[in-house]
Amino acid sequence: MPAVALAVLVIAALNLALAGLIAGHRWRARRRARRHDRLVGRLRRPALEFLADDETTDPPQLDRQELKVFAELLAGYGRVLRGPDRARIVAFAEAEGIVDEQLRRLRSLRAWRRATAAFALGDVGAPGTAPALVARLDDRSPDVRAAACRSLGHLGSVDTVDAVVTAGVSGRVPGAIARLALLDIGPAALTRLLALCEHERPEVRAAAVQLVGLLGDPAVVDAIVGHLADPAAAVRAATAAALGRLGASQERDALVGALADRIPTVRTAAATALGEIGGRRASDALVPMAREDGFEPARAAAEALAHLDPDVVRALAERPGAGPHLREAAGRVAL
Amino acid sequence: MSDSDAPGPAPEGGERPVVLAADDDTDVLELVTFRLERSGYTVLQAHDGEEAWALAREVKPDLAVLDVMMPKLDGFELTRRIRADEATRRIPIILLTARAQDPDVQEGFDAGADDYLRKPFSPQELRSRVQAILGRR
Repeated sequence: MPAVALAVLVIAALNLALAGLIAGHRWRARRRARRHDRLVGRLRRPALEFLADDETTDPPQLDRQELKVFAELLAGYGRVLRGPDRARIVAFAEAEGIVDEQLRRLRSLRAWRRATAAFALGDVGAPGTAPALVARLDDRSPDVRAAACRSLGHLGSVDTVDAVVTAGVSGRVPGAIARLALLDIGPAALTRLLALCEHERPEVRAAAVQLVGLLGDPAVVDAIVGHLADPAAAVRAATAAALGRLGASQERDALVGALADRIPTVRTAAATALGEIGGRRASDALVPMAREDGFEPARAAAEALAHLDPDVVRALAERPGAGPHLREAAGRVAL
Repeated sequence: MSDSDAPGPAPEGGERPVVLAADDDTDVLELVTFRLERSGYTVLQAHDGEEAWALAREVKPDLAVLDVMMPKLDGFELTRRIRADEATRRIPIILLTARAQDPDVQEGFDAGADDYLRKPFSPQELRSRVQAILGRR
């Protein structure tokens, strides 16, 4: 038999063997998935009953595979629960060694395994896992850092606020994920955030002020309004935006003053904030800005005016020298 | 059964009050359904806003527990539709949502919700609020 024919036969046999291996692997995966689905279906009700029954302290007797699925179900529910039900899930996961296992996986060499563990720890919600998750904010994998940050939000620990803000500001975690985590921690994070508003790094101050605005507690207005005079423009802009979001009408004059800031982004934020707060003095200050300022501030002023009083914007747009932004805002009002 | 899941008071005639639960998150829907059924309510499930709107018009439940961020029709818009329709406008509505910032809460009440519960939520609290609203009727 010529060598070429032999080589073809060998390659064909190898291909066949590889195809068989893949088919076998898929079959096993499908079988595992079917078994998993069956277990989910069978254990769903016991999991719900376990959570609902205050008097039962022991979970049902389960083998290793069942226990894994039972824990998955509880973790899924834990994600949306608080109070005694959540505490019950934490107690179960700690007692069954699930928390310890995930903490071990958090040190795995494989990034996907560390990320999955970080995610699972957030669903379980054991407060004692916060330090391990904070450490993962410096993980070399962005997926692990993001999962750890999201889970710290789920844990709701005020002690982790600084680490989450710093991770968001430094770009180690996407800003949106850090913000969401802090919103998950909620008003309890405010005290720490207010302290961070005085941080030496302007980017940390700006992020903290922005988050204070997002958490939406009007009682903190006095604590942040002074940052309209911050040396860093990003902080001044964040403060103006936060005051607008908080509806701080008592700071209208301060925001009108910020319309004269030398940095356009600050003027833009102040104009938008005045559009939220309203008032005669705000409208009077926004009109010349909408006509004469640079592109972004003028556009923001025109939008703010349109938000406050569409009729005024329509009338102003008709006048000579109205400028493109008032006419654009009037056009949008008409639509 | 624990005290916290004890059945609520049955209305005259002994019929179980009907609660419409709408959420695209299966875990939430299962939890709400299980806890309310255990507390003596009949629960109808909807997985999106359109399905919930169809059920609300067809069944006219005694109360609706609605998620805000749902596919097809969000909870705010669904609440407005329920309030605008003569056949459904008296259905009490509890919004159950992760959108927990004050402006969102305000928008929920402006849309016509009777109560607002933030996720993560406590099933005991949900049950208490359901019972309180149905008890007022």
